[in-house]
Amino acid sequence: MTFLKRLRPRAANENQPKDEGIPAPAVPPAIDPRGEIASAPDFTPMFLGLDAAQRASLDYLSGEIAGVCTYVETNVQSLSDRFQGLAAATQDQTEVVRSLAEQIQTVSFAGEQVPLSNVVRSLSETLEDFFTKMIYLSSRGVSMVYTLDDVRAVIGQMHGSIAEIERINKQTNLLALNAKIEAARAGEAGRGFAIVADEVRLLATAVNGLSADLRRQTAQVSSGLNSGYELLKEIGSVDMSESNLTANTRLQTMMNGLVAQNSAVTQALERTADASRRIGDDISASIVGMQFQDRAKQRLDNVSGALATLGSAAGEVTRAVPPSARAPDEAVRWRVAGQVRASFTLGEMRDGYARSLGLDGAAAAPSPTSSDGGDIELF
Amino acid sequence: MDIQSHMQDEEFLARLSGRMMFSDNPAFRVLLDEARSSGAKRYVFDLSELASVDSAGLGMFLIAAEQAKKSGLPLTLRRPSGQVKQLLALARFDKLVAIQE
Repeated sequence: MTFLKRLRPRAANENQPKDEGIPAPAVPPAIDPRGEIASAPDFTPMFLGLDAAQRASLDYLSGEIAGVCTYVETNVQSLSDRFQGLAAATQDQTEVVRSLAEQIQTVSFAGEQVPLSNVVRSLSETLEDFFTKMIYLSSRGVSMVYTLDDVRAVIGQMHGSIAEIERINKQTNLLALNAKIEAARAGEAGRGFAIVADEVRLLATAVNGLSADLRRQTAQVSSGLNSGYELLKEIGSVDMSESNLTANTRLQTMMNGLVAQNSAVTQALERTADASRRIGDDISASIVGMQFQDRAKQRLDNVSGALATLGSAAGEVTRAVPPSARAPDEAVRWRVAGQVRASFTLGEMRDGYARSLGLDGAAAAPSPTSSDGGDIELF
Repeated sequence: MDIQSHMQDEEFLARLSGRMMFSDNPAFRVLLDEARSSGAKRYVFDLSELASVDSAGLGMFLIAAEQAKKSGLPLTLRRPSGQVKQLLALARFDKLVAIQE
């Protein structure tokens, strides 16, 4: 009742200027000084028509709001799930890149991780060490040559000694021969002397054989020394030409290049890991940001509640009208409905509204814009 | 390789020129003997005219360094260049003797 009382004067005052679409009664209602309608034409059918259109519209709009809520909730949930997946994938990616950045800096060697810079340094040291040892070997070779030279000098002296022995032996032999001649000249008295001379000659022949052996043996030693000398020459002489040096320089350059490249890759990977981490942060922030849906839903629920209250208030007003007089002005009802329908710019809503209220030709003549966002057809 | 040596102010100075290789070992031994018996207080090998050296040559320098160390006298390798300089650096001769630019 209270609604009705309040509604009446307002309707009488504001009906005409505001609702241009609703035809006013032919005679404007007279208003008495108390603000009551004195002799008003019967507005009831008009209000009932308006009310019917309003309530049907409110129902439709509530349904629309509920649909939007569900739609937004479903999609935000799906979006949120995808973002969660994205966040997890990004986290994985960050870890992979980080471990890659760590791995690329080391080389697995004999069960332990050796930093690449150490590997290069160790290679360099090994090369240097090898080179130093090679030169040490060469120096020992040359020292050995000097020792062999000394031995050769001794053998030369031995040759001299052997020649001296042979010279003395030759003289001994001659002496023995002379002694034998002298013994023969002495006749019987020299017989014993001749035997001694023969023995001396035999000894001289034996010494001759020995010195020949010595000469042969020292020749063998000399030949062995010469072979040794050649071997030492081979061991001691390693080509140190420009090309070998260039190879070494190239190796050094390559190793330095390897380290530089490794460092560049590591930096790039660190930057990638950093970018992944930032993406992860952004995604987390986005997930938090998507909680707007909760707040939006609460507000829309409130709006729905308010609309329902409005609807039931209107129902209360209608029930105040005696059942005998409850004949809504159908023209008003359809005109209002038509105006509401025209206010929708979205074809789908226009069609949905028309179907919901049973407006003529709603389904038969879909709006050309009804294809806009066809996936919102939830009602 | 060609070797010219002389004594000056207690310094035994030898100028090595050409290519130093294994076959130079007898001449180098003579040089070392001369140095030892010279009574010098320090040895200097001038390498500015030495065009190249092989591993045997480097071995001979090592022997000279050892001999100098044994007699407690300093050995200086003066002004090596090109391939000789590179090889001396690679074999870290700077750890054994003084290398003078």
